[in-house]
Parts: sequence; C-alpha cells; structure tokens
Amino acid sequence: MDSDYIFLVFFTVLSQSAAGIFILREVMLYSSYNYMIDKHLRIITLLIAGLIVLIAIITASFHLGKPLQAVHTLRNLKSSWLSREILFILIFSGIILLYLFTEFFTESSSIKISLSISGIIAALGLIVCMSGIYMLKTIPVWNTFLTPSSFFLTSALTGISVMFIIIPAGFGKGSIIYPVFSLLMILSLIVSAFLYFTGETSSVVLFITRLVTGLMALLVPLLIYSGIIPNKMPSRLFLLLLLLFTEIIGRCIFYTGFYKSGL
Amino acid sequence: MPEYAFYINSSACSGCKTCQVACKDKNDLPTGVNWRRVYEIEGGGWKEENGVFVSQPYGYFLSLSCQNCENPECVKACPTTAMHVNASGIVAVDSELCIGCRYCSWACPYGAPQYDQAKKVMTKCNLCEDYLSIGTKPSCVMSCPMRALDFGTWEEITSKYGTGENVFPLPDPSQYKPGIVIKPHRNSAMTRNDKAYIAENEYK
Repeated sequence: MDSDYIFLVFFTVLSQSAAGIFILREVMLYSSYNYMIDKHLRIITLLIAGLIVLIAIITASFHLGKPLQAVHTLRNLKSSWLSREILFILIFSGIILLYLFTEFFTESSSIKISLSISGIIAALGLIVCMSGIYMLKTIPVWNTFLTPSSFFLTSALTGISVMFIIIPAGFGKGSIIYPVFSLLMILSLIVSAFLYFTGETSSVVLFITRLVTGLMALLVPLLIYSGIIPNKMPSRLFLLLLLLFTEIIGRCIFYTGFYKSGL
Repeated sequence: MPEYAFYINSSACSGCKTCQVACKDKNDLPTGVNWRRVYEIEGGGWKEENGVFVSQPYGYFLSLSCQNCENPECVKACPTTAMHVNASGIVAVDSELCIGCRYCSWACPYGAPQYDQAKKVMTKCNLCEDYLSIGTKPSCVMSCPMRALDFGTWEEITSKYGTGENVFPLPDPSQYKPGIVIKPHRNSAMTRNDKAYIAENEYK
C-alpha cells in the first residue's frame, strides 16, 4: 500500500464515524430511546462528531501535494465525486456547528428538526459521494456494491460504539444494541473477506489481523451483554478502540486490494 | 471522435525506448515521471504437445502516452478542473489549480497522468503542443528509429492507417474513445487464449 493512502484510511474511517454518530444520535433523539440522551449528552455527542470531522479533514489534507490550494476542490461539482465529497463534508461540518449553537442558545424544536434532517441528508450524502470516488471503471475491485457496503457498515459500527460508550445503558444486559451490533460486525467481516479475495495484492497478514480483531469485537460486547464483564467505561472504551482498530485494518485491506485494469 | 491520434505499429516497435528518452529530454522530466512509456508484454512458456514439452514464449512492445480521449475520465474525475481540455483540444493540466490529489491517475486507464514528487502536482503528455503549433510532430514520433510511431488529427491517422485493433492490456476502446490506432504485433493474437502480463509489473 502506498504510504500516502494511510491518510485516506484515517480520513475515510473518521469521517464515516462522525456521520454514523450523528445519524444514530438523531435517530435516538426522535425515537423511543430519547430518554437515554439528556441535554448534556446531546452536546457531548455533537462535540465528538464535530471534533472527529475536523480531525478527518486535517488528516485528508496530508495526502494532497498542495493542501493550501484545496480551496479549488469545489470547482468540478458537475462530474467529480471528489468535489461533491468535499461539498458534503463542509455542509455536514457546518450543520454540526450550527446545531451546537442551537443546543446552547435556543430551544426551538423546528430549528432543531430541520438541522437534524439536513444533517442526516448531509451525512448520508457524504458516504454516498465517498463511495462514488472509489467506484471507478478502472479499478474493478472497488467498482462493486462492496465499496458503499463497507463504508456504511463502518459508519454504523463506529456510530454505535461511540454512542454506547457515553450512554450508560450501553451494551448492558437485555439491550437491543448487542444483536444489531453483532449482525453489522458479521456483515463487515464478510465484506472484508470479499474485498480480500477479490483484491489482487491484499496482504494475508492484514486479513488475519482483521479476522482476529473482528471476532474479538464480537466477543467483548457479548461478555458485557451476558454480564461476565461489567458494563463500565473501561470495557466499553476497550471495545471502541478494538472496533476502530479492526475497521482501520479493514480499510487497509480495501486500499491494498487496489489494482487497475488497463495500465 | 477524438481530436488527435497517435499511430503505433507494434510489429515494427523494437522496444528501444528512444521515444521515452526523447520525451523525457524534450520535457525535462524527472526520474519516475514518464509521459511516454514503452511496455513489454510477455506470455507463453512450456506447453505439452503430443507428449513433448516445447517452449513457446512470446512478447511484444507497446509505446503509449496520453491518448487524448474523446471522453477523458481524468477530466471528469479532477475536483479542481486543473485537468481540462484546452483551446487546442488537448487534455492538459493547469498546475496552478492542481492540488496533487492523484485522483486523475486512478481514473485514467492508460496511466497517462504522472505525479511529479518535486512539484507536488500531476503532469502529463501535452502532445508537444509547442511543436504542433509550428507544424512539427511530437518528439517521440520524430525520434523513433523504426518509424513505428505517427501522429496527426484523428481523420488523418484513420484515413492513413484505418482504425486499427485493440490489444492486450488496453481496455475496450469503446469505453473511453482514445485517440490511438494500433497495428498489432502478430504475437498479440496469443493473448486471446493465454494469460499475458506486463513484464515491468511482473518483475517488480
């Protein structure tokens, strides 16, 4: 894998995590789970999502030859998925910032609902545009449904992990979150396996690491869910770090599978 | 149809890389940046015929640069419009706009956009536009000792040589409509039934 791709690995995983956190936050806020998120948690989750997007944008600039000219990236919205991705990440960041202001300065539910809906659209648009970048005719291994699947799964898994590290109920006994998380984790491992076997130059070491850490990320919440490990911050933090690690390895498999048809 | 076209007589190409060197010299290209590249395609090996193993290796050369496609994928992919079709109909890079994201190199099926590590921007074959303006052909064409290369407008080249054939490892031309006419080497027919490869990639 080209060393510059490591910045893209972190950019994609981080920005998809932020999108996942935001979407899950909004879904919980406007569902029967809203009792889990008080005002304090509403602000914290927005701050976390905003901070992650900021780190993602800074990380992405490192893979550019001339990052100071990045202002030109919005010039080709007509045909470039990369331009569209930048537009959506800017809109998404702006909405998070506005939303944060409204949490402090207004209780108007109509403003919050409109920010919530537009934020969800921006977050989904960001992942769709990100997928569009990689779905190139010249790179057959990326030009499949595996690319958007992998990106949406990363979003959902990291979103769940971050939300349930800060929400006390977390992966505790009887929580519906564990079965959902397990299903998504299994799907994520299957997608990784497909990417590994279709990528011509994928590393076997990365794949084995992905499998082992992915299975551990399935086991840890099971132990929390069944009460063997206490549902406390250290174990939930460990799960989050494990999940981020396995997702980063999964994304490295995605990039190492890179080969071009033609020349 | 594309505006311009290169003609390659793969049968006549000896793989001497004079075109590659002439291009590097004329455009003062640094190490690792090759606007024109000579690919060595290989295949074959030991095959069993009537109980006897016989050696049947084959190879041929393809000298390629930017094909100045009618539908340039690099132009579509570029987020800054640095990669554009200029007033002369040539796909060119505006280095003032390029941010060096290298997305054009992913999108191009011919490996034409090349990243200049020192300048931190993408660069590519400009068909020696300055030569064209004084009625001279590109330096690669002028330098070829085998006269295996030619250049002109699409109409000139196709009326002279026909539309040519597609050969391994180039993608289906109907996808990108490249400005290239190839007279294939006789060995390229072998790639229809055999897995050939680009030698440079195989021995990396």
